[in-house]
Amino acid sequence: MKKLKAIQTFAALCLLASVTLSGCGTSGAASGSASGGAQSASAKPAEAGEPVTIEYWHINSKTFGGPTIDQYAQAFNKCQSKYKVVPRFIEGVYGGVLQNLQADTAAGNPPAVIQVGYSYLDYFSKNFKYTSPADLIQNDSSVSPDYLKGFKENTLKLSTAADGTLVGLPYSLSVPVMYYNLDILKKAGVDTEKLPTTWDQVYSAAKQISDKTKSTGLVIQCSKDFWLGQCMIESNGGSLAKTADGKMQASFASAEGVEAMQQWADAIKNGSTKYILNEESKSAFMSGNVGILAASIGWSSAIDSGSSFQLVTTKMPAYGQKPLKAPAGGNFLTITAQSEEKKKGAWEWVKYLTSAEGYLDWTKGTGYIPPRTDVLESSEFKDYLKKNPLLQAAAETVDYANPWISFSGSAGMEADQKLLDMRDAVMNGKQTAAKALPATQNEINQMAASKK
Amino acid sequence: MRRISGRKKREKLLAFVLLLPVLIVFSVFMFWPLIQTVWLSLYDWNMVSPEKHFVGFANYTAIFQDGSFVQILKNTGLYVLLFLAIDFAVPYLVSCILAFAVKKMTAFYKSALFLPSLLSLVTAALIFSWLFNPIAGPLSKLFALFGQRFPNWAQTNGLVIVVLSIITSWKLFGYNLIVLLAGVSSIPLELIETARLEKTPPLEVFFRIILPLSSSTGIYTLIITIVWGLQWVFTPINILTAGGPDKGSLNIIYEVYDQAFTFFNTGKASAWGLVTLLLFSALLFLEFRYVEKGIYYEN
Repeated sequence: MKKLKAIQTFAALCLLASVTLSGCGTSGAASGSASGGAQSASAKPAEAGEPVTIEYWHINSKTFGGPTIDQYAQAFNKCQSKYKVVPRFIEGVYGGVLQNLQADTAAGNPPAVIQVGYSYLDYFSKNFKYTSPADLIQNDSSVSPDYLKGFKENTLKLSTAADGTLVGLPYSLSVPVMYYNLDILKKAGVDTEKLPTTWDQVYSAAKQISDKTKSTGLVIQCSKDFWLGQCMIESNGGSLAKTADGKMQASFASAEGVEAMQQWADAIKNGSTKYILNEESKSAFMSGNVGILAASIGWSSAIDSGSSFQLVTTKMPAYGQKPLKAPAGGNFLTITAQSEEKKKGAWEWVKYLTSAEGYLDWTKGTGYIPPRTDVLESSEFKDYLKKNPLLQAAAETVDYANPWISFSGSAGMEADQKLLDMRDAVMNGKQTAAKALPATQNEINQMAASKK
Repeated sequence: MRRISGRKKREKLLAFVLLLPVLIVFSVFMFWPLIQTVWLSLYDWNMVSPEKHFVGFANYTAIFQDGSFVQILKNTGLYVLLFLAIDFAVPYLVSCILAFAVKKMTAFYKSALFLPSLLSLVTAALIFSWLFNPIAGPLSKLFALFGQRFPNWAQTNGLVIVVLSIITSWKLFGYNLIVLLAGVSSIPLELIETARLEKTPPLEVFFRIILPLSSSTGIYTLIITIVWGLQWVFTPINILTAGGPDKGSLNIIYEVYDQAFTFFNTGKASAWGLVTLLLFSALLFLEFRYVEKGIYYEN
């Protein structure tokens, strides 16, 4: 009995040790190489002292660009000794970044560089302190004053506030595309040589798929934002919000907006389209159960590696002859450091990330499209597109990229939530679009008026 | 006479001194924040700006006039009922079975039933999200075999709360089982044996003997189930539905979080917090008044 007890205790201790140490192992590897850089810095004679810590907040998880960022940070830290970049993954995507920023700013400890979702441009620039890259470019002699001209004009608009201030540099740029599971389309008898180019064609293809096969016809990405909703409403000729006299008014309840939403809700009602949220739509498509998926190009590398069927992408469909309008997803880099030293280090890090090689590598690691004209027209990028045809549709869509609308003012985040609640209500058939959209639009506008 | 009163005084002083550390900690970490919360609920503040706007009772009127107030209360009620059913009633019965009916391998059953409680709720939420995926999950495939459609639970009012409660029971069940088992095991075995010899039906044994004698543990577990249940269900709600569909899975605790940390309405969140406090204080008062008399405390 004593022996048995001893063996059991020993086994339990071994299990405990292995679990705790394996956790240390993975983080140990990353911090090991990062501290290696810092150690060589302190080995340098006299000059340095402690390298200044540059905290970089990002939303790229382990399966979506996170490892690429860690590699960048290691390379950056190795090639110089003044600054030490510490990347930090933030939960909750762009909303999470701003929530954490709000909390850390209140605590007096803001990070140096952060990714801000394009939709939060207005909310961020009105509520937080930042340093405009335009100022830093002026004061930096190593950068040409024409630095900004290298960016596509419509992409710079994505990170420029309403009053013309450049808030940050566009970084991750994604657009929505249509993914097709050709195996399912063939099974349902949909013509795979002429894939749909309008929403009517998409919905009827989805109906055909759900009628003739056991698969779901269409799923539209619904993360904790209204991105695809904006794409559909604006492509049909409506608009999410309008700015008049410097005030932003919600305007999505026009006839075109209602029509686009109701068509989507009807497709869900007739069973050809399913309304599932967040990552579940990605895993449903990857598992080969959905014929058509409307989602960010940023999902392409995960879908490509996780699926075993014939996969193609096309541009988002248009509504009849109306022009396509695609809200740009992704984020821009902005400098929230407060001390002069950290601002300099942050700017060095931003320059590193937004260099031509930086953007090309970033595309390779994530599937985001580079916003710089020289990169888009370079032969390396064109070669890369040839080897990764899924990105072709996204590269074509960049010209149609529009600002991703966010509601401004202190009630901005509540307004976003109301949009999501409205989407839930309409897609679940609880309310018609004709009723829900005007009601929510009024609520948002009233809330904005009272909160000034 | 003087010696006795002197001793009493010293005992009182000693008791006060011994309680002082706890009183200080409670004051700093519970009473002071509570007072701050009451004060904050009279203001409109976004946690960052240096200005706070005094709005008086506007936050409270906004809460009661909000169209979703009733729905949030209803949802909270449904969560509580489900927690009590899945994580109070069932563990109570299971603990009786383990204490009195199962003779062999009790240690195995105890460990097996407690094991899920060690799992992080984040992990549990992600596992269940995959399990219940209405298009690609294994349950949907099983349903398809019988020609049925697995419901899109995350978009169905009512069902979404049921699923979230099931995920939370992953953690709650094991804890309650262990506590209730301890309470039930303290009942003298002879009482049960005697009842059995007299051929008393098992349900009567449960309601007339086991329940009253373990009622002190029972009432503790009841209250803990409600409190911890509502706290722990926060994790699956946050990961899977964020309160949706259209507030279908919002409960009063999550609403406080949403107001404070998603919308940055710290004043309104404080008001919601106080409403919650008042609600549960009322329930606790009712419990003290009507239930405590029937509780058997061994000393």
